[in-house]
Amino acid sequence: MANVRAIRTHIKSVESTRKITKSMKMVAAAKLKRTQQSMNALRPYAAAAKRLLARLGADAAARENAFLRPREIRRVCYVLFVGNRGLCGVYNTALLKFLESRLEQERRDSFLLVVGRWGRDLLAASRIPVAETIDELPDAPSEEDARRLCEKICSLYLSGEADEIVLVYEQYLSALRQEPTAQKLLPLDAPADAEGQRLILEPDARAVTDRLVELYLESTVQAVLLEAKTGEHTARMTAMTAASDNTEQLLEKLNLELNHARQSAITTEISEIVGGANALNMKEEGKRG
Amino acid sequence: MAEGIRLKLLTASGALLDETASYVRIPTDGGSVGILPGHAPMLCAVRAGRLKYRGAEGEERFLTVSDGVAGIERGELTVLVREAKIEG
Repeated sequence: MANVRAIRTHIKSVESTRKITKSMKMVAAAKLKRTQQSMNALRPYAAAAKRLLARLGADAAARENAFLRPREIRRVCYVLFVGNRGLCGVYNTALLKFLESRLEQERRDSFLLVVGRWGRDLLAASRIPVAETIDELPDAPSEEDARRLCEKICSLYLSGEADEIVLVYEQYLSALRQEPTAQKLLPLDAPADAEGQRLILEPDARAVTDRLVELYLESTVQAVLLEAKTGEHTARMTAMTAASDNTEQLLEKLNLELNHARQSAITTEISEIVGGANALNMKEEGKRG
Repeated sequence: MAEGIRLKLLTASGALLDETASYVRIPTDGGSVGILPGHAPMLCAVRAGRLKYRGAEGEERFLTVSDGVAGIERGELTVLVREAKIEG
């Protein structure tokens, strides 16, 4: 009977795991929907900001903008967008591996700004210097959150702590594919004078450039943040779906095992009873005979 | 001369307007800028305030907009602002 009891306990624990994975999957699905909506709504805005910035042309006054002015690159800041927690397949680890191999290749003086709560210990164990971790960002970040993050990144650049800012995140290709990518945010590549036509700049080149660069940086950071979050929720949903499916299979197997064990216990019991009864019968028959 | 201006107003939370206008007035750092069809290519810094436009049928509409940027090229006016709200 001990076997039956052990299997029952196992079934119970698997059932509670299933409950957890199923609810985690549902939570991830709800968050995914929110971030995906924001991501899709932002796309045309971010694309337009990029297009307008490109139109600015190689205006001399535009070059005066601190973010457009070329400068010597001594120190690089990598902004790493990890998830707020694990349980999302290889999402975080793939990103970390990608960053490590990139750092290995580049061998530049660099430091890390981590966005997300995951992997504090892992990062501490690696040799990459982490300057700061921004861990208070919610799973569905708002415009305000993105703006604050952008200000933080820009201040690192303006203060001279970093001369180049690279965003490292999981690019969202589809619901099934996310790929680690690195995107240089700052310094901005000076827009080329593609059309050669003079633009009217109202009120002046400086004001337009400042405003446009600000909008562009904000929308880019927000887009990357939303893309990373969408990828994280998708990855978690996939992982939790797989885990739920696994528990289903395991439960099926355990139920079979339980039935077998119960059946054999019953068989043993019956054969014991029958055996006992037979023995008694034979004893009585012997007495009579 | 072009028939109208294609006015597109985008915010970070989605597109708010995409229609044809015959006149648009944008609040900028240097005062209001009026735009008629056939305007030369321009980029301007939008200041928080009221944006006015006249629709295809001559009706006037107003929007409250926050800081942003507007660009006009080939009859298409793109207004990028952080937030905007249609009045009325």
